[in-house]
Amino acid sequence: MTGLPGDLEVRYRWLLLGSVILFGVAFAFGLILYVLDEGSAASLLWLQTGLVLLMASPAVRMLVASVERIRRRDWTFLALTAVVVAELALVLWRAATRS
Amino acid sequence: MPLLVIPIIMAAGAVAGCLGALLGIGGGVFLIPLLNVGLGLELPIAAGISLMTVIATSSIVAAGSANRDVINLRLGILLQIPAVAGGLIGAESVDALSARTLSMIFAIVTGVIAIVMLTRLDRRNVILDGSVQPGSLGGRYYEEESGSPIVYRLRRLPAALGISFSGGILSGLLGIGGGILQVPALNAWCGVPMRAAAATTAAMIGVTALGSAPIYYSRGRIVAPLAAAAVLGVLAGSRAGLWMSPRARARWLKLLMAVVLASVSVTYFYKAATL
Repeated sequence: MTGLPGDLEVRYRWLLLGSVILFGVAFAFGLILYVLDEGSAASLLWLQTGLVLLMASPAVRMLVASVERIRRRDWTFLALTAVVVAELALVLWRAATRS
Repeated sequence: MPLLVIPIIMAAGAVAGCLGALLGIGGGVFLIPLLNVGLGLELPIAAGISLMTVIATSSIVAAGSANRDVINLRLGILLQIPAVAGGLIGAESVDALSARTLSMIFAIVTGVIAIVMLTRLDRRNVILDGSVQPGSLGGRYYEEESGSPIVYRLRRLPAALGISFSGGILSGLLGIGGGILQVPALNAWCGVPMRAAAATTAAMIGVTALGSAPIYYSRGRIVAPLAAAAVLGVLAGSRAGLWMSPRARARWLKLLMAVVLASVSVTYFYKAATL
């Protein structure tokens, strides 16, 4: 993953940074509200939102990397990514059905 | 839950994030003993919180510009396949294993890797001839430490896949990133330089953690305020780790990792013996 000029992973680094900032802000707000009013609904909402955003951030990264590989016609990489995505779908299904 | 715990966990997250970004091991291996042994949280709860910090560390490494040319994405996505499968199996197996068994697994794995690291402190897995082709799964980057281009080829692909699968299982069972196993093994057995192994692993462990994190989340094993405190600490600490990474000598990185792993191993052998 070399940072070549024009590389989407470099150009869209703001998207990756944005996902980090989003879950960081949600956690910071949630934690401040939690300290001020322990267990309040608002604090838990912010904290749960942060958790979901955090878990979504690797998926954003895979999406950007995949778009870059489509651009480069790196079909081997895309096939490998598709297998990982299928595995993650299975994980989500297990989480939803065994909770 | 006493509110005093929140700044303690935040500080622990900062240390874990710094060492995790520096060593490419997610930081969970430092956080779990503190949460589990230090604060008395159950191992699956500590693991759930740790998984969140692993994802955060990995996202920060991937979003940063440092080490970008060292990350081997093609190798990373290939190793991700067995790692995610292992993560799912590990998360589904937690309920079947006792705390004593989990502690013993942690102790044995960390102890073995510490010994492997100590025996290979001065060995390098790089080709100093910059004109040599690295192959489809190898890599090439410029190393500040030696001031020369570094080329490496991947050796023993089946071993790399097996290591990633095992790392994924450990991630799902114990909440560590899997890098604790993968970084030293890729370096020692598969010919990947320490810095490339650490950077590639740090970028991929977030996806590995996704192999088990949703299952922990759905079973209520991720305590949101504690996870938030740990992640915020990691956000601060990992920046320091990323700054230090290009400046640290490979020998010292290996030595630091070995010392940390040995300490964790002793802690968990003691814990397993006293449960």
